[in-house]
Amino acid sequence: MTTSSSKPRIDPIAPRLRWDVLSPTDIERIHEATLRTLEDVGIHFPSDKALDALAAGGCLVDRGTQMVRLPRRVVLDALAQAPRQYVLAGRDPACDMSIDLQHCYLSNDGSGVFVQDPRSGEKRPSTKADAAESARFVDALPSISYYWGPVVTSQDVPPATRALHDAEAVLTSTGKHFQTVTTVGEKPARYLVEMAAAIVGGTEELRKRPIISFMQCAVDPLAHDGPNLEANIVAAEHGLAAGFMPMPLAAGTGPATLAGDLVVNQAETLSGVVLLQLVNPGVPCFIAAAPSVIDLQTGGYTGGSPEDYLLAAACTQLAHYYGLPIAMGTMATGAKEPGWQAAVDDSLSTVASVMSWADMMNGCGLLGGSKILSYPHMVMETEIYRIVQKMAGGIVVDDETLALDVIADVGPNGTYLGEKHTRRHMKEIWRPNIWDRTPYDVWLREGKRGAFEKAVETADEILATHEPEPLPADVVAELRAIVDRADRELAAS
Amino acid sequence: MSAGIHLELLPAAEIDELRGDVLACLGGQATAAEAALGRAPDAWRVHGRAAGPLPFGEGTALVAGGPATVVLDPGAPAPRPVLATDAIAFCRLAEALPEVRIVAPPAALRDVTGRDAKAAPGFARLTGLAAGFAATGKHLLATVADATEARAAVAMAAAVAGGGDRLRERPPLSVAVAPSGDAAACAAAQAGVPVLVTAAPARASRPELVAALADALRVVVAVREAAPGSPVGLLLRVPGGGSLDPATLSLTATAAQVARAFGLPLCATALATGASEPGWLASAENTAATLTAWLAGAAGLAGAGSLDGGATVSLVELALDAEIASYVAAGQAGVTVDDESLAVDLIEKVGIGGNFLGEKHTRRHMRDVWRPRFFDRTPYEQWVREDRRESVDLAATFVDRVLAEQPGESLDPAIVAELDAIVSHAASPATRT
Repeated sequence: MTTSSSKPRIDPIAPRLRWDVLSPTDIERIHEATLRTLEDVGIHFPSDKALDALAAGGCLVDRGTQMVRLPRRVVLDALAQAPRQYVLAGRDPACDMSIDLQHCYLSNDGSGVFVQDPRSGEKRPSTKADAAESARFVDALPSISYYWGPVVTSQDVPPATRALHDAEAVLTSTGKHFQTVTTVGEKPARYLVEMAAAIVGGTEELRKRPIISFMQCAVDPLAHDGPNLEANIVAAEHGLAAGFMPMPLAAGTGPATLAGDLVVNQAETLSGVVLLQLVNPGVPCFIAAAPSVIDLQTGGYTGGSPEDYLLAAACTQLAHYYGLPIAMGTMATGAKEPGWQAAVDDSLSTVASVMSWADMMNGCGLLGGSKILSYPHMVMETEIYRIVQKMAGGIVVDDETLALDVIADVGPNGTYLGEKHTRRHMKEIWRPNIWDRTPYDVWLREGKRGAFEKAVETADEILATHEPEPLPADVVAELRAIVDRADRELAAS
Repeated sequence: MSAGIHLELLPAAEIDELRGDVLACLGGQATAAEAALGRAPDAWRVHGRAAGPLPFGEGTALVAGGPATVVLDPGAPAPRPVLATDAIAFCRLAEALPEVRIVAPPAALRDVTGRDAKAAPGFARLTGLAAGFAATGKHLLATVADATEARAAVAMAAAVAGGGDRLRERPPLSVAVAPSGDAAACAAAQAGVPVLVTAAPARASRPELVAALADALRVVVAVREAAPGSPVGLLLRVPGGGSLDPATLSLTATAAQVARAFGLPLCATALATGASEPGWLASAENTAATLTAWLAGAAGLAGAGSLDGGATVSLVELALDAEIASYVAAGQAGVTVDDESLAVDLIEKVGIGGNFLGEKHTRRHMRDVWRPRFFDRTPYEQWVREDRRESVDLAATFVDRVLAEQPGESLDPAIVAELDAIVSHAASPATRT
């Protein structure tokens, strides 16, 4: 399978139906509670560079405790400064994403550490070759607009430069935008920017065609990690989009009530927006969120619950209240296999993100609470994405779709099959890729081949045939040289 | 509709137009229809033999059961015909699942044939209904083919309720009738039994929906004239023989909106996965169908426990469908935002890097968090050690446990005998003629 020029490289959702889970009053109350938390409680910023920027911007900084209280005015000014619309570019311009609060872009899930064999069900640790292969796989699927992560990390390379080996594998294997979630620390971030610049022709070109962006996790509740802050500061300095993703667990690292969990999430992610705007006013940034609830039986992560999808829709409403895009944790089931549980989690999670118009949705392909890569699972999740895409389009009502003339022509007991109107619109009817619609007896005769078996075949074909647009050999060599240099400097120290 | 999160697929103007199209199909009956529709409740309470009243028309009631002719046992290579014992097992499981509000007992019972071949389907349906009354205290929904069958079902319901007056006060049964079932519908409605009139569009298209709703409305009008003020709603049979199609989801949502515009609660048979066994496909289809029905404000969602487009019944699938309903309903309740739930003082108290686990606020609210029955949340290594049991396996174990337990409060033997007599009488050739 090679890239076809007639097929869109990416296929985002432009939803028409919107699902509001918070009333305007609810939003105001959460907004006020968030501002109060930022001003009265504050956020832990364990980075001198971050503290310098925040102090210069008017925040109340305690250098001893690294605690920062963010005055209301500073927060509101920063939110007003952040751009409402920007482009996240692909190495292939056909993969550019217009982040405009009107489109939903799906990515793969990220930071997995195992790969599952679809036939034996056994898992093994992931390698750099897996990071590259996963990027090649994502490159082939139009439903996945950008590469987030990596899907699985390179565990056969030095830990200090793992993120750069991941980036080398990804940037050489897909033409889609790459949002890193594992690049932490100032030096690795600078190396990554250098790699992206090498591809587009320099750092100034990178500002114009930002083929990479940065996401970091926050530390719940109400804290950031120093190396994460410093990596995102590097991104902001270079005009690259960045955001901070909190994951407060209600009843654990957040209040047991969903509204309180939202306040913790909002305080953390907004504090990151404030930092980025103070570092580089007007730099593209985004809100991010993956709040959830604690599993009361195990004390761990649920990997999917009704609260998750309510929180997802609520976070998206809150982000858009500020006029900012959001990267929303989506899919990421806790199931260990692509079966019944995965389908419930993935369906409802995708509906919640899409119907609330989440700009970026992270993402598909991992099982076991974002740990285990399964290619058939990724294919099955893109099928769910396509169903939700169709649903979110709603029903178009105009003269052409009402088709009153055609109804009159066909009349009672007629058929629409041969009508020109039908030929014009029949391709709009949703058609499955892996859905099983065979009659029962056929299904039985053919060995009960269902969606999973078809997904395995699709995945095999992609892995066997898809070739992404290659980078020029000299650029590949340059990336290799940069990573070599990083290994010598960072892995050796 | 209840409070909570809802999604209107079509704007009000478009629904008005659709409503107008449906009335236009009724021709000269349109005025009478509008008058009749204005005289009836758009929600009512349904009772069970041993269950308290529940609102019908407020929120979405999960309805277990469908028109299956075969049953798929857990682990079996292929389905087998449905037997009377399956109807009892199905109803006992439905009784044990709190998400199920209404039970439509399996009615195509292969081992219930009676003396008259022509009357066999009706005999089987009424036998299934008797099994339902015996095996569950929940409200039942029975499909009746004609007035004779409707009168027999009403007599059975009256026997269970304790007489005709009690039946009007606390009907333990609703009946579903075909678009041509005026006589059956009127017989039930005159006795105080709620009626659902089937609207069965042949395809998921607007003209087909309009025509189907118009056919159903003719019966609704007849019922309202025969039994003014009686509870009557619509039963949407989703076309397509199973298999999910976004167009059928749109149809469900549109039909629920139009029905509301007529002041009629609508129950949709949207749980009709085309999958042949419980698993990923059935889950994806039924999750989408459940969410659509809930968000659209359908009064009922029927077909729980069905596979292969409704042709097959599966107890494991029923348990799993109930879990999906529980999942969706928990989310549909929305987010409460007030001082207690915002917990700003608590956030300040716990502070940076703290933990909310030991807080009184957490103890007050921890039970609000949804808890699954069939979701596996064990660590990966434990899951491997425990034979990689998936949700389908957990549901099968649950079904086995429920069926192994002693049945709950049973029906008075005298009433059981009365039901048997009614069924036998209804199935006799003399009655049918």
